[in-house]
Amino acid sequence: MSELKSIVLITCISFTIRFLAFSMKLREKMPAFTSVNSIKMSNEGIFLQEHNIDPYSGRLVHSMPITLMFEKLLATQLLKNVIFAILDSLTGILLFYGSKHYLVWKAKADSEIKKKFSSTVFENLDIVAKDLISIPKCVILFYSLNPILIVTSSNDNILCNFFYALTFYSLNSKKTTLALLSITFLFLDSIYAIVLLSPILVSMSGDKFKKIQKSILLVVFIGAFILINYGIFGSWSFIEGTIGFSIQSKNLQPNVGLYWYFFTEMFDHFRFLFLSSFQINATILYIVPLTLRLKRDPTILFIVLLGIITVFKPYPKIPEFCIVLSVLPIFKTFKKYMVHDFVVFSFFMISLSLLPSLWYLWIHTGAANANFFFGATLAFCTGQIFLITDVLFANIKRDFSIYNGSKYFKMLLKVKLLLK
Amino acid sequence: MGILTDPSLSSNDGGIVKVLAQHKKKICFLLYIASLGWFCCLGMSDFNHSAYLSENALSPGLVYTEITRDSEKLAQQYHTEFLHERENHKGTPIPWILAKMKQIGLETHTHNYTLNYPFGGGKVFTGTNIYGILRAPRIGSTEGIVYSAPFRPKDSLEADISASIPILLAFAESARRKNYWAKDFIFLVTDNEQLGIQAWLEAYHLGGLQNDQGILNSGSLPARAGALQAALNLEIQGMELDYINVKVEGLNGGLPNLDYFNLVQRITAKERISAGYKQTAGKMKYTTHSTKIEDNLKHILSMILTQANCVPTGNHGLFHQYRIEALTLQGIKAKSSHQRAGVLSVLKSIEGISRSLNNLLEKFHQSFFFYILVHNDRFISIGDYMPCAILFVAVFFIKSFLMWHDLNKKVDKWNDDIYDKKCEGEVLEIHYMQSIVAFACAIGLGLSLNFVCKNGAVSEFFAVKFGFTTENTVAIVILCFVLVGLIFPFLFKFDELELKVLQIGSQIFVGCVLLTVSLLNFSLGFLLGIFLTPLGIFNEVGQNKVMKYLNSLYIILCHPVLVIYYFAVAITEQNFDNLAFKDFIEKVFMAFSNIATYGVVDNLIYGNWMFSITTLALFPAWILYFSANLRDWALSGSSRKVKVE
Repeated sequence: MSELKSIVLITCISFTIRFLAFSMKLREKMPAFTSVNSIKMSNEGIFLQEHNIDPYSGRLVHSMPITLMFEKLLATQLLKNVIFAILDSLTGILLFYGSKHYLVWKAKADSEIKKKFSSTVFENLDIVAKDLISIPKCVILFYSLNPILIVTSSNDNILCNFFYALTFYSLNSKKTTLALLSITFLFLDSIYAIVLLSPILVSMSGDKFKKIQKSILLVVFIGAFILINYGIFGSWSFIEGTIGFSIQSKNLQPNVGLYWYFFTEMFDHFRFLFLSSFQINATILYIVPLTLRLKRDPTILFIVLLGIITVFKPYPKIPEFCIVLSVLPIFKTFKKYMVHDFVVFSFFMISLSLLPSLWYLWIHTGAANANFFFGATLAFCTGQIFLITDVLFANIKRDFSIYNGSKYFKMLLKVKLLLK
Repeated sequence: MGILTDPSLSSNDGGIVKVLAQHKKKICFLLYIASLGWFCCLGMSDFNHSAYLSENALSPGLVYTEITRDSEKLAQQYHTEFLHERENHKGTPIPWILAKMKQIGLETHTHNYTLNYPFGGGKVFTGTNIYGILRAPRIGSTEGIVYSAPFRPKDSLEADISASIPILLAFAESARRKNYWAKDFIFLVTDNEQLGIQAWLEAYHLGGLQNDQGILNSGSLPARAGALQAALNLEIQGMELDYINVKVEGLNGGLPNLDYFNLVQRITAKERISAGYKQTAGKMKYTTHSTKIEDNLKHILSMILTQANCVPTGNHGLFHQYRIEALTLQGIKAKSSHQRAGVLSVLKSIEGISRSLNNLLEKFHQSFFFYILVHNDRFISIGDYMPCAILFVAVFFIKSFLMWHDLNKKVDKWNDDIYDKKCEGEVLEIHYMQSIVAFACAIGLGLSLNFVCKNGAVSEFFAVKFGFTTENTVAIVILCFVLVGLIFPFLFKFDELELKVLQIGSQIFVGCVLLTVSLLNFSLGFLLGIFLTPLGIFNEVGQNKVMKYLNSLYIILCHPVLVIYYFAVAITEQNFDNLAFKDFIEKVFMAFSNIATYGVVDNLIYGNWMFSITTLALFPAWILYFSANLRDWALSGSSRKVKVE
């Protein structure tokens, strides 16, 4: 069956499911576990703007002015549902082509390395011809049919996911300017997207001067984008509502992140210290070491950084992590070394089934309390961290066996890496 | 970091996996036994705590009660008048109650509601609640406490509780004359048992939790009294009482804060009334807790059985979903002339409870919301009983963990070739497509059963076409779905690996369901665990024949519908004896359809989860286990076992 045909089929299925789910208002019924841009909050933003009230004044709305305008342009609910269902399906297609580009590139890079070091064939570590189709297909399926994604993503999340996927795609197809543009869009939603500049710079083949050029270009883009937003909105209050909101993280409404619980317990005069250390942890702490370690494979760097952001940023959203989950099949090359797959999977299953029930028990009936819900959140985050660590270690092991030949393959399955 | 980097934790040849794989049956069985053992241990005094009040603001019994003999006389006078009114008046004696409340000086309102019965072609029921608000002199109507008394007509099948409303009014009269109340009091008289209170609560909370159904039209309330802190429901059977039974279990197994229960215990003890949870005539006054484990276990079990069916034991049960702590005082009428508690002491305890609640500075938030009562003054907290459920859940995850490893080993041997060949030419080319589709279909079947049963149009269709009653329609729909479930495994042809994937999926599914249910309603979760865990233990491909037979038998006996049938048989046995076989079967079928219909209606009107859990979780899970087992037979019977190359 041709590739195009199956993409069209999957996209159609994806569109239908999303359209039905959006029309049945499943998203409104689910607790979104986030303080930013749940479907109710974006509706609130549009409502306030229609009544000529500054939507950012109430500290409830954190969408960018441009997304608010976009949603306002789509006047009817039906049109909105259609457009956002299409956008989300497009995200799947972008992920498909992104991962395809990556696999082609990876296969080429691997064969070059093997020429240099050893000529053995790695049955389980190589990308073979059929993978070039089957893996991207898995990616698009994972994204299209993920029920958690469908019921938790608000319109804002769909837009952001689209741009994350666009970054992923342009990173793999080496369209640097496009990648910078999509990061620009993501920046206002959460500043942490700026971290993703590092894989883009790594993926560029040019010299240092060109890289600096591109970084400056990003700054220019962001400046221009903020100006555009200002032009649309007509006041600077949106800066406080979007960027300022996640930097200060004053809203301690429970969500799937790690900040709210910690900062409710915190004495106020320590707040600045811990806030800065938390923010550093979410942004620059891991960039340098990970970039050095993964500079040969910017895509893995991208995924790992994205995963780290989604765990450690103040207001994480489940749909963002679903992007990381959906592109996991491209790690087929070192899947054999990812030993904790079941543990991670059960962590996710347990925490995702506990989160809504504990939310109900705490927020609705008032029987349980913050500790119960935070326990489930902690399990969810632990699962994410396990996954990221597993990816990193598996990648190291694969690199080792690529450079040293297949005789180490079996041995590495059992080896325990120690940090010294 | 050790855990994250150590592959031996979950790799095939690692130590832990090896040990687990070698002794998996033993370990799983041991976990099952351990859970039951732990449960039995809960009866021992080392495993439960003695009750204490953690909310200091309550300070029970610190004040002298001010209620006097006059109130008692008033209550008696109200009682005679009430009985007279009830005799002459069909339905609730609304004018009389309204007049009395106005006379006392309450702000009086009525509340009308309509129930559009979801089945039976648009039947409509109406009802009226009456409530009077005593505005607190010391605060601006920001907090309130509800005192409710259900009105029961004389010909009701349930126990006569004619004394509740007189006592409620007598208490209102005495409370009216005090100036120290810091919370508004709402005196509420409801009708139609739980329907009335549900409608009132929905109206109080502006449509409530399930406003999108259009089934219970709860109307609107003309006046409110702020955020409700607590509610006390009175079911007093007569003016002379033997003892008071305190009922706590609410909808979906919700319980009031333990502080509230303890408060009631303290106050009633002070007023020398014998009162307690599941109090019976035989129980002595003020006994310290029994040290006998059997007695304690019996008490725990009786609470678990009451809590597990998700149905509230009284009108208090519907308050819990709105964050209002509530319980019922059920005063049992004295049989002999030897009276143990009179109206005065009941009034005094109500006053004592109110004075304590009046002191509350914030919502009940201390003490425990999840507990099991071992005895009136001893309880088990969530941390102590949860291990039972967790041990059950562990079985499912350990089992699926090992299956996952088995699967990986097999896949390594096969090198995916077979699947690539199998998938070639298909549009999506996914491995294990069959298992994924089967899983999705099973869940979809559950969803559609849920949808069809709850949809009034279906029953109308059957009623018009064949003249069926609602009960019969629900029963027939369920039986049809059961049939589909039985055919289900024959629609798929799994090979060994697909079967494994299906089993892993169903194990994790049931594990998650068990965990969630036991958090929401431990009693139900634990009872489910007792019956489901053996399924988890024996669910495996390629066992010996005896085990397989046993497993199949057990799976079939565990069918959710069959389980309902057991209940139906038990109920019929109890109610009718010496029936001919044919009549008996008919009666059983009727009982079954009644149970099923009650489940659906309760789900629609009150939001009872029993029906949802059964259709969305247990029914699909059963189908999955059944198909896995049946296909396992087919695999070992035929040569469909895929050759390992």
